[in-house]
Parts: sequence; structure tokens; C-alpha cells
Amino acid sequence: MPRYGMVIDLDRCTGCQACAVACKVENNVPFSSPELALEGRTIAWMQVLPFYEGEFPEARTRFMPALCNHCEIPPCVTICPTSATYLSEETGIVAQIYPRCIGCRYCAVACPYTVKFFNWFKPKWPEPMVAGLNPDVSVRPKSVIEKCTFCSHRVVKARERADGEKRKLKDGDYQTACQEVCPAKAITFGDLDDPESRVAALSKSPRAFRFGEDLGTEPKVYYLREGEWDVERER
Amino acid sequence: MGRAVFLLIAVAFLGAFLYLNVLPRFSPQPRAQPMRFSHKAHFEESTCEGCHVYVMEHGAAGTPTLENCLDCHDGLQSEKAEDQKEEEKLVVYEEEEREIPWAPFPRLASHVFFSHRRHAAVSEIECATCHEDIAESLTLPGNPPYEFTMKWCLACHEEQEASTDCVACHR
Repeated sequence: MPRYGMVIDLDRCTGCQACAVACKVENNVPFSSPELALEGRTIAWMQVLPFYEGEFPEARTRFMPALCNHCEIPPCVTICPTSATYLSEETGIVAQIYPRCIGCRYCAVACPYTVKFFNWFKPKWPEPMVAGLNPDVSVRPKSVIEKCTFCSHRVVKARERADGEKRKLKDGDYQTACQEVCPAKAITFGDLDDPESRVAALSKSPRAFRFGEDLGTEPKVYYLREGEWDVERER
Repeated sequence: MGRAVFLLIAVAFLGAFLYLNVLPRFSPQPRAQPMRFSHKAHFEESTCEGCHVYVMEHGAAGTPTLENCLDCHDGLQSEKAEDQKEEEKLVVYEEEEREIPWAPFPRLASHVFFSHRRHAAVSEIECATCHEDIAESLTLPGNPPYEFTMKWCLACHEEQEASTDCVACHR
């Protein structure tokens, strides 16, 4: 069984926010506003967090794309009273089943990465955009939690395509929206257990680390810190 | 005593009112279809994908459009008078330049994702496996002829060792 994971190269990330936009469009995530953001009501499955360093003229900004870490030991799954969120044995994805969610928000509190979002309102889009919603993803109702799913609807499509062509799923068949649009190719996605996959090789790079590793949640999203590139492996 | 009788009558009236007026609103009402369509007659001449043209390519199988019908129905071809009466409706729709107003059945819940392509084309499952004897029916059903439950889907998925991951169908 594959165990999907992601590697994000912080040395490549330019903070362009293409991943954040692509994620919103792909997954029917409603827009926010400055007022909602101040109230902490924004939904952003993928967000690029800026970190400011130094003072002018030596000032610089580092960027960190933050999304669900799809932990191997997910605190949100342990705490969910209805099994609405669960760790998929088939893919290793931590998924959210919306009609099961009762909106108790325990998982949002339990998540150390704060990447579970509550739908405080019925989502709304400007009229011309309604026809452009992704038909492969449901529009979440009010009062349920939502989160990054590693674009799990795409694994279904990729499997369908591979089965139709009577072949096995290969590395690169299943891409997430954020990975697909990243102009700097900072995001790599694939099966961490497949020794041939690029993501498995990069996750073993000396630059690799995971967010909040000391928490014991075993995240499947790896980050590559700035430093000497292992050019053979990372090209 | 008089009060008890009054109460009993009141309850009886209320019960009758609920039974006759409120309950039927919650039970599915048969939907009127624009014409008597015989799956049996069509299945003898064509295949499922002849009319449900997207069944092998898309998630939704699609209902036949007037154009699909007119591909074969060129004027009145039926032998029986009662069949000709139905066929005439096609001519009227063509003259009035409007689509056949098929009454669609309720769709799946918005969080359930089903693909005909995945089942019919990729996994090569016969239509009759799920749609039973629809090919033998002489009229269009007024109500959904089957009740597809998750338990029923899962029984087959487990038997065929297909995915039983929740996100395979619920997203």
C-alpha cells in the first residue's frame, strides 16, 4: 500500500502563493476577507507563512508553506468522536468525511499544526465563479471541519486512468494541485515507501526535517532547509 | 366522561389528518415521464451506451437527448398504433424545437461520488449487475427502481477487493 507524503524545499520556495491559490480553486475553498481573517475565520488549507529576519538594509523574509502534515500518529484522529477524520490505510492520507463531522472542533484544538478549519458560515462565491467550482469535490456545508486532503480526489482519478490503461500507478501519476502549479518546483509529492520515487529520495536528504518533530506525530510532510544541495539527488 | 370522548375524537381526527395529508408528502411520489419508453424494445435493437451515451466516458451516464433519438427514429417506424402515438411525440418535440423533458430521479447525495466510467468501462462490470432487469422493462419507472445503499456498495467492493477507503466515494 502506498504511503503518500510531500517534500517542500524551502530553499526553492519564493513565497509566490501560487500553491495557496491553486489549493483554494481545486478544493472549492471559499474566499476570506480582512474582517474574517481578524476574527480567525479564514479557511486556508495551504498557506505560505512569512518569517521576517533582520533589519533594513539586511532584512529578509523566509517562507514556509504550511498544510496538513498527514501525521502517521494524528492527534485529530485520536480525538474525533465520530471517526469523521481518519488515517487511510490505503493511502496514508488523513481524510475528513464531512457528513460524519458533527462540528465539535475537538480536532481543530488537538491539531498542533493548526491546519483544521471550521466552516463558520455557508460558503459563498461570486456568481460567475459558481459554475467553475470543482465537480470532484463537494462544497462543504456550514458547521463542519475541513482540511487538506492531499487532493485525494486526484488519487481516485489517477487510479481510474491507470486501471483503464491496465498498468500500475507510477510516480508522478498522482499530483496535488499545489505541486502542479509551483513554478519553482519546490513541492514534490509521491509515495514515501516507493524506493524509486523522488519524494522518498528527497525525504532522506541531509537537509530534510519535519515540523514539530519532537511532538511524536510522525508527519508525512518534510521540509528541506537552506543549505548545500545534494545535486545528484535533487535535480 | 364527555371530556374523554371528546379527546378521543380529537385524537382520531388529528391522526386521520396526519395520515391523509402530511404522511404522503414524505413518501416519494411517482414522477410522470413524458413518454412510455420501453427499455426492452430498445435493448433488442441497440445497447445501453447507444442511448446513455456517456456511460463509458463520464461519471454520469446521461439521458438521451432528442438528437440521440432522432438518429434512429426517422419519421414513424413503429408498427403498432399505440407505439406510433409515442413516436409522434418525438416529431412534436422536433417541431417545437425543445428537448424531451425527462423527469430525472433524485441524484446521489452531494458528498457521494460515483463514476459510471470507473465501473462500466474500466472495471468492465455489466450494467445489469446494478441495474438488474431494467433492460426487460416495458415502461419507464415512475420512482427510482432501486435503492442503492452504502452497505450494498460495500458488499461488492469487499467481494471484488475494490477500494473500501471512505475517500474513494466520499469527498
